[in-house]
Amino acid sequence: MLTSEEQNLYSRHLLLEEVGEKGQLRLKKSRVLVIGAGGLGCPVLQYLTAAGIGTIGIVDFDTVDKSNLHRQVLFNYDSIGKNKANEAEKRLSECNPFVNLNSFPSGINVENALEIIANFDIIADCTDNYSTRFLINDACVLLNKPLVYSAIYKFEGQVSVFNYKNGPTYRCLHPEMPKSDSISNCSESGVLGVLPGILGTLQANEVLKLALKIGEPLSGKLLIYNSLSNRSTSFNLAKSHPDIYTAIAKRGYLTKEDYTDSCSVVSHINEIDLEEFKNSLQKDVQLIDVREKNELPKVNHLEVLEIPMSELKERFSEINPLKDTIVFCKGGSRSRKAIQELNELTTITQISSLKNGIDAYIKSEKITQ
Amino acid sequence: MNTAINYFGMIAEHVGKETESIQFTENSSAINLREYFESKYPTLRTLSYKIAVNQEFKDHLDSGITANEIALLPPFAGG
Repeated sequence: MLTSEEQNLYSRHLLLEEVGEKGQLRLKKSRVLVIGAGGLGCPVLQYLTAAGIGTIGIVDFDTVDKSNLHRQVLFNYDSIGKNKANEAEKRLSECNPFVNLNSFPSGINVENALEIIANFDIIADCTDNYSTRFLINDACVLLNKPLVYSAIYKFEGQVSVFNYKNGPTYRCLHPEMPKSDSISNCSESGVLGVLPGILGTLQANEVLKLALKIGEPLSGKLLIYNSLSNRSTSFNLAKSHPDIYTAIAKRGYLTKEDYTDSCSVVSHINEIDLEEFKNSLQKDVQLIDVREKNELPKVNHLEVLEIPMSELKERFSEINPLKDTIVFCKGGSRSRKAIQELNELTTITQISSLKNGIDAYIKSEKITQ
Repeated sequence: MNTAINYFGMIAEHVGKETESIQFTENSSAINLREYFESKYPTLRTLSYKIAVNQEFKDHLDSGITANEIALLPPFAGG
């Protein structure tokens, strides 16, 4: 039964024949896990909270950055530097007191994925990288959970519902990690602010349809939307049976080896932590910033050679191969990929990647521009 | 009959256009579309993408079939 306050709150749902009190109670009983509280995650979380999903899990290890605010409209200036999952929980709790919100600020990984996902009925993948997407998909297949998927690129986005009633999965769309040239780096490609809003709202719509058991879920279909042309096309996706599922099901658990991509690899690359980094600044080291030109903050007080990732192939010869070299980016992923690329192009005597990126250093030094 | 070719996302950036019209010659045997597009646009060889013929994912244009639309779709993972 709904309380009279809930009846007021959800009155426009209750008026719909397809929802009504029965549907609203279905929403109340539903447990939805939203993985990634970024561009897609914000609208998904906002609409699911407003719609009265009973329990919502929010997973994100990352902190709010100023450059997130143009599209992650759940956050504001006060949120900058705070954990996204905790901050989302705080802001959403003001929107609907009847929703039970659980944040997971440590993020999702091979160790905790099955344990977290097992507690929810519907999973929304709002992440931003292939390895996490494959991990979430495989965990959903193993636990038999429907997965509502969306991904965006510049002005284009795709939505689908995977693993619904034994339907196609993410690996039926992408059996394996795409070729490295197909992977655009986290911050270099840009995105129109409203795009994740549109796609995230479509994603929230699919979650609500599953929870309400109404309409036709986007299972077996991949919907692609382009915001410049307003063209949307739906492709039919057939089910295939990638061998990896058999292997994982047999094993019964997930391993790191299955989820490495060039944005989150790499075995033989030397990484240094913050303390080692600070120590090495006393010595004669060559620092290379592979962030794109528009990325802030610059580190003006250090002598840095700026070679954006997108220019590495043309400009690698500017690097002195005989000097001790430290490569950094924002968060520590691209710098590893840069070293991998440099290793193919040239030989640098001593080269390391700054673990967790320059953001960690800036935070520790409390340096502003 | 002409077939409308639609290039999506990063694929459109690599081939330099979002759409074009191609007339495939009468095909008595199946056409390997991946080979066809990669010889027309060699830059595609370094990329991952899916091909859809009339909204169905497949790499071949079967013999005797005319396609209204062929789409080349790159993967992307942004969020």
